[in-house]
Amino acid sequence: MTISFRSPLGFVLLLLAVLAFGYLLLPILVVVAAPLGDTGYLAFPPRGLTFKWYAAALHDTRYLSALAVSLRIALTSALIACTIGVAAAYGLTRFSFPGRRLLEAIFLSPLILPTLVLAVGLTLFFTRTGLLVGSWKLVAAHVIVCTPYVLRVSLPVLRRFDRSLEEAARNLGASPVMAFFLVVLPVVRPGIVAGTVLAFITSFDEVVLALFLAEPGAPTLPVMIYSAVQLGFEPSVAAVSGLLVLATLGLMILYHLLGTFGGRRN
Amino acid sequence: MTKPETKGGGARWALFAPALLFAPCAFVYAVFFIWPQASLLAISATDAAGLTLAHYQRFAGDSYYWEILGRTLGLGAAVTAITLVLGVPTAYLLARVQSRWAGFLLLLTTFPLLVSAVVRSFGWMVLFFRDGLLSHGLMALGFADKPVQTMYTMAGVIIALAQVLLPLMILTLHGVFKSIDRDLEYAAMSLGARPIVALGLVTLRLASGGIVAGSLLVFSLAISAFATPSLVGGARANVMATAIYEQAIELLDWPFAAALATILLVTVLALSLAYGALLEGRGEREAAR
Amino acid sequence: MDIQLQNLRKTYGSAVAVADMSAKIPQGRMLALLGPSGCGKTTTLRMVAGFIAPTSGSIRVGATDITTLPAHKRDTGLVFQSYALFPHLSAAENIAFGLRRRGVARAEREQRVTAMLDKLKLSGLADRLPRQLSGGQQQRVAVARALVINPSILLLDEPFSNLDAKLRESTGLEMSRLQREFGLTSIFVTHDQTEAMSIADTIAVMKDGELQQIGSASEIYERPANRFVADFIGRANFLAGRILRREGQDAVAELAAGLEMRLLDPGAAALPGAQGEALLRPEAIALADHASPGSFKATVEQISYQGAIANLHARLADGSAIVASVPPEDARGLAPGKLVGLAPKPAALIWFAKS
Repeated sequence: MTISFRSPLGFVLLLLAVLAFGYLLLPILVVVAAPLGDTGYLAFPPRGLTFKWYAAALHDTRYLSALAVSLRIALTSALIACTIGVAAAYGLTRFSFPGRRLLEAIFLSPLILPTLVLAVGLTLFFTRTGLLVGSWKLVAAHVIVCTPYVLRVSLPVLRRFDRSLEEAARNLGASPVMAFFLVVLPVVRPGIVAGTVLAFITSFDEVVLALFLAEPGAPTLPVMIYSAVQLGFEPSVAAVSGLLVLATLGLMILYHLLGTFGGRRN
Repeated sequence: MTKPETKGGGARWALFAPALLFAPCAFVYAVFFIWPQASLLAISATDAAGLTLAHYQRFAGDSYYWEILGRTLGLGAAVTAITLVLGVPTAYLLARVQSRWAGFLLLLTTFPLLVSAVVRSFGWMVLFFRDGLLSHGLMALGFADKPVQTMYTMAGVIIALAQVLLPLMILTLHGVFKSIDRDLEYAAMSLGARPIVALGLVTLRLASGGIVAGSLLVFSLAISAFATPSLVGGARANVMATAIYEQAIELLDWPFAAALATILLVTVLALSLAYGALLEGRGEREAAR
Repeated sequence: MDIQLQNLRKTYGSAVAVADMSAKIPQGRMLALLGPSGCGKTTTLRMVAGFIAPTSGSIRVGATDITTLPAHKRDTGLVFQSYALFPHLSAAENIAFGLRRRGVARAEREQRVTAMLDKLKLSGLADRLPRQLSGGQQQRVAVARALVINPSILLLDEPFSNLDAKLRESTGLEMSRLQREFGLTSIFVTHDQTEAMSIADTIAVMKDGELQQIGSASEIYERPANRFVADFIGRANFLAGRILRREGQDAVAELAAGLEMRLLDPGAAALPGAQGEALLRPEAIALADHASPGSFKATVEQISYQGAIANLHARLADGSAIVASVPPEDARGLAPGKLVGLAPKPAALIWFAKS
């Protein structure tokens, strides 16, 4: 540290940072802890201790089927986004042509577009054209919001990729396609994995597009939680949310331990 | 038009490979992004009789909507201010701490981002109700003499939304501070600058571009947010996003919803262009270094 | 003013960065902290600058204990390895930074900055930003910025390591001239022994946070305190051996499997039977006939001409490699495979007991 924590300035900075972390984690802690109370309504700090709401959540078929829908849509969207995103990212870094920067800007632009605007546009579009049915509407929407994440993570990785490796492979007799799959892809894989994971999480957590475009009979988990929270404060909703937080935490720790994170940080 | 940057590819590869690589992405974007957004613009500017600005005039002529726009921008400003006050010190410490804590704290910052905004807003709602922790806390500390309702108020939306967006501010600024050599601070101090002067004259001065960029990012995300304002604010704290949702889903006035969406879009787009220009400038300056 | 470091120590948890560092630098002299990276030399310098708080020990400047004084109140000029020039300020503004903090009036400030720019041959470059300057110019701005505040101590953290070899030597001599001209007591951190020997009055060799030896360049080169110092400073051959007998202050040892050699004053620990190594500098070896007594029999493997000298790479009978630096004319006529005798010059062997 450049500044000692014992100095007044250092102390103020530290205090604000501690405050920031408390602020960041408080609502998440509430969601995990509140359903542990046995008061029958949500309170924080919880009073009493019971696991019945968590147990109920694990057996609630409405939430379980919503979870299945969410997982299916997130997985489909992430895989599509990964495929088209990596291909485009490779093209953007491998070839130079007029308008390349514009194309890149367009591919990245859904990042800054308000999701609600996208949702209104897509709803009107699907209603008028009758294109796509069922959950594919939501998948298409999620592909649009997920692809930029894949691009944003894989573009820098591909830019840093040492082109001479690919040239060496070509020199040793690999075709361009073989060189891509044998050399480029394995080297940049951590970046691509990170981008796909990010895409999966984005789709899985997304609520606005899902609210507009999910099939009425098959809402995603965030939509279920959103609607349930609006209707009232059942402890079971909190328990579902709490489980979601714990699962996210578990997956994040797992991901970190597997070391894939290292590729993204560098 | 296209040419590979390196030699060795056959002529066919040079011509078709880029096209093949871009085609899937371009197709998906054209059909599910550009076409719907273009038709959204078209719908906002047409009615049964053809081209019209009626929907925009309705917005312009109704103080109710101006109020909503003002409230939305106010929300953006307040959220940006909170994330700056908490984000600048936190990002600075994260960038300067030299231990394995730094990595752990960075993960701790990222973690809330991975939890859906719906779930996080829900956590705040439990705290905001009349007999929630916040109300009891304020009374215990003597700031209030009767239970306080933070639910369905702008204050509640601001508090919840700032939490939702704070990680993005911290992560953006962390990168900015990390790129500033700490020896510059030491140099300033060895030349006689007090630590706070060294931070102000050197670190914050050098980070100013990044701080503005981070603020624009948070501001544009705050004014586009839907889930948090709709859950925490409800009908009493209407912002642009909730108004658009109301027009579209509840009143089924799609053309007007499209007009409101366009207005929001243009605002965000203008901010993003400023953001892009700032980041670009920063990149060029760094490249020149 | 003189600087006195007393039992200076810095630990991070169980890791010791600097252990019990003591040194005294008289007014106007320069101490070089020399060692490989991670030896604690930069940590020591940063403790003197006030950036790192020592775990224990004290730092005195003149009669004042500055151990706990914050960095901005210490009267030190510091030149960073990276120069740490403020990228948003011009050369002149960088130099004026310390004067502004000290509240020097505008007219005097401008006059002192201009004088300093002139002194360091930067006159035409006052308004350039650091990125518009060459490496050598940046280095001079960093030096000017440190000197203009008239510090009582000058600290240099590897100030030449980012310069190319030619510039490094001339800048080093210039630096040492300025330091003498300003009468500055100075600490200079480097990993380059040639640099340390050419400009410092005293050299402190460090390793793993421990001070190995402190003394003048010639003391350290000629009487290294231990094997590390001998190896780190200059080139060295180490010949494994065993003490055979004592002869008064001296001892006779068997070196490199076979040859008996006399060691002058090898210390009390060099008792008969003790194992160890003898240092033999390449330039302390003379070529002799391979049959001549008192010389090592060696097979030439390679000869590399360096202009002023020739380095003879050879192998001794026990298989160990040895390098001898000899006048080029002596090496003429030698070729790989040839047998030669390598004779240590008198008093050239220094004994290090096996630890």
